[in-house]
Amino acid sequence: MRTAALPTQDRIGWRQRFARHGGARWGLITLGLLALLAALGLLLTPHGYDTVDWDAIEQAPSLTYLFGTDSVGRDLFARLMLATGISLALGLLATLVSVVIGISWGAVAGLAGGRIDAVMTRIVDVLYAMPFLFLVIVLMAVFGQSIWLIFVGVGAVEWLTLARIVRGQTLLLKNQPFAEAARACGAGPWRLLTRHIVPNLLGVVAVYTTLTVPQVILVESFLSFLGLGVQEPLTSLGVLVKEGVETLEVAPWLILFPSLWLAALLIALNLVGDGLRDALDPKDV
Amino acid sequence: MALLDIDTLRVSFDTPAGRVEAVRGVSLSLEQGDALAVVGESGSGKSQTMLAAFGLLARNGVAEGSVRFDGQELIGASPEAFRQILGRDVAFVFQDPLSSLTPHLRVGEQVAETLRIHEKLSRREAKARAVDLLAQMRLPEPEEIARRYPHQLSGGQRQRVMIAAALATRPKLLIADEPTTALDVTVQAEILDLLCELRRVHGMALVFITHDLAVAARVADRIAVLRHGQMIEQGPADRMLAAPEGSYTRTLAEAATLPAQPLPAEPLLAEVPSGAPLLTVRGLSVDYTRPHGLFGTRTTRALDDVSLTVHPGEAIGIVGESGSGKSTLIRAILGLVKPASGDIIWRGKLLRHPYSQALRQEMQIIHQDPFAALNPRRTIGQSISEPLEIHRPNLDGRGRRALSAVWLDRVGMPAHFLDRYPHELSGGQNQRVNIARALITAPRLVACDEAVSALDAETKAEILALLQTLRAETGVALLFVTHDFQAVARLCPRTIVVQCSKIVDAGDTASLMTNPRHPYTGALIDAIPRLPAEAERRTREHIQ
Repeated sequence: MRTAALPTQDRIGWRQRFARHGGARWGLITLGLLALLAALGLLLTPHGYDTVDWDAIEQAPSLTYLFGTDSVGRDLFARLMLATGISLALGLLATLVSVVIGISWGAVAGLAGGRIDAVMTRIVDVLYAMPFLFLVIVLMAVFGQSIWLIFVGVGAVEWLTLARIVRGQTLLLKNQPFAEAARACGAGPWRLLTRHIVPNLLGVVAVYTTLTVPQVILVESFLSFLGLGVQEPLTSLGVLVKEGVETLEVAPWLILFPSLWLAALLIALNLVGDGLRDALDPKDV
Repeated sequence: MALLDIDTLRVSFDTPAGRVEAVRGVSLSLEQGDALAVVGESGSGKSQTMLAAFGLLARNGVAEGSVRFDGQELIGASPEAFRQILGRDVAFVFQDPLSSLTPHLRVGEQVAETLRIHEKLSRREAKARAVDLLAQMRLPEPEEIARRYPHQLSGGQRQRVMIAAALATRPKLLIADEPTTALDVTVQAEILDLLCELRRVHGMALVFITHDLAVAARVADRIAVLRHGQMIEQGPADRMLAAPEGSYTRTLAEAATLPAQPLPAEPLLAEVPSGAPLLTVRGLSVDYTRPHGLFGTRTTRALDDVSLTVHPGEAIGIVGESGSGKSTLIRAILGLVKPASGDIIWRGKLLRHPYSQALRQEMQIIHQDPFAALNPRRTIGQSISEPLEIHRPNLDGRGRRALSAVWLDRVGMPAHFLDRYPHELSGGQNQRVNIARALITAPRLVACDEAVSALDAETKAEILALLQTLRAETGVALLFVTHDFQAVARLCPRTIVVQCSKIVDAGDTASLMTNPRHPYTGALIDAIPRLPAEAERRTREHIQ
């Protein structure tokens, strides 16, 4: 019998693999710093996010106002910290909602097959065909305007794509010999899903998730632009960038800092997703 | 001057784990019009030698040494120089004809494309020549075939198309890399005949890469045996086969020889069949339906009115070509597909679909591809102990692990493999893991679906011996599905032959092989390339 070339390093789990991934580590550190700043930011500055200083309108960054002030004299640093927190929470929560629904729906449809699959997939198709804006406006009209509604609205739309991807992968995986071997061992549908199908899906899901978080943040800024999203005096990264563009020539700091934050956030998320995908694959040592 | 002269060729690959040497100083030479077989198992460097010679290595590969083709030095040659030679003077044919053909182009156009690139023919001329070539490949109705897409052809037809495309420019050298390995034995025999004939007619040189010494003996004048990237032995085919020098060549020759005396019916088993049967299958039929058109379905009969009886501890070979329904038969018995009609009686009780969990632990399956049969995200230990999690709920994690280690030991592997992943193991080791998983719940029946077909000759012999030992120790009955009469002859006292969804022949293996009752059984056995018959056949042809 041939003894395979034994890898010299110790047996490692996915956490260690993730920690060894250079990019992922930096991504996670950046993400952590941004989140920490967002959480503590409002305590670090003496100015409130909604306090108007009539003597300091569109003031350039200085010692008093670290990142300058906006067109109505509010502290940009305070507003940026608030915006980061809201955007991050919105992105992560809406993505979490879409991932949970998407994986369950897609994997169940793919594994069940036949009529159940047909019905579940048609439901996804119908929801897909529904105009997103219309859906949000109806939700707003029925439940009134609130940030929570945005979570629900965005999450309810984003899971559709993931459900389709997961269903396709499940169709592929459930006919793999290892899935058949598990069925021959007597594994029921629940065990098949949780042990054999979903773990093999996670790589695809990790990549999709990192694409979804930025997308949610952008969708939110679009909604806010239409007056359906986050409302004044609250704010989000998308709103800040939009306002910054309007005053690009007179107050460049108003676009500079929010854009920097948004870019750092998106890059960090992509690095983390990349690292997660590699870490979840035991073949990648 | 030799047409191809390879001198101390070295090939290495830069991998994240360091430099891997695939070929370590191989020298070969080939005269105009000669046929050379390069024989070795997977990983021997036989394919990499030829790929490296013509600049077709993967990007992380480096070739050193000297390769002269038609007087031109090829190591360090420009990509442009390789493009000039490839397709015009040298053509390749690979193992898998489906992935070598572009799926969205009609096969006639693909053959014509080579002609248009290298011979600057007009569209119409190229098409006419392509049809002509397909006719030379003895394809029936070449004009009709030329209009089809690759997926509409059978494996043998596709390989003929590939050879037609390779020969379109009348190359001086054809390199065939395991061109018949994916084909059924009867089709393989036809393709080998075709290659021999084409070589004689066109006077072209042939390098035939294979793992099977008998196939090599059939097509080549000279044979080179490679192992671990080194040349073991080379010389004229007749001398090599008559008196192989190295012990490794003798092992290969043994693997290519049909056992003179197939396994005798064991006295132990001769008594058993009088007892109660373990499994009786009566009039079993299976249909596959697939969507056809927008709403309709189309039904194909995959298994038609099959009956068979298995006694406890018996090993039965189920032999047939691909698509014959042999895999469907065991899947229906194991309840993995639903039968359309017929009875499956297990230890006196009629089984109904779907099977109960308790029943599942009594019958198990071992798949063909040892890697694909293991979940890549679960360790060996997790995979082996999964049946225990399902069927022995009172066993805790430690107990499961201990039992898994015991079984890993019984299949000949140390316990520390429990924490490894399938991709860290070789094919043979993974197949041992699959065997351990199948046997850990002490089943009464294990179905092996081409369980040794994907393995090297040496590993195959080891796994067959292991199955034989475990069967004797545990008294498990085996249903051994294969296209390979050699494997059956080594393992199964009784054999049934399946053709076109039906059982056409059955009996004890020894008498089936010496005097087959059904013509199809005879054709299957005759088509197996084996020593020394193949060598004699080639000599006969040369005299003609």
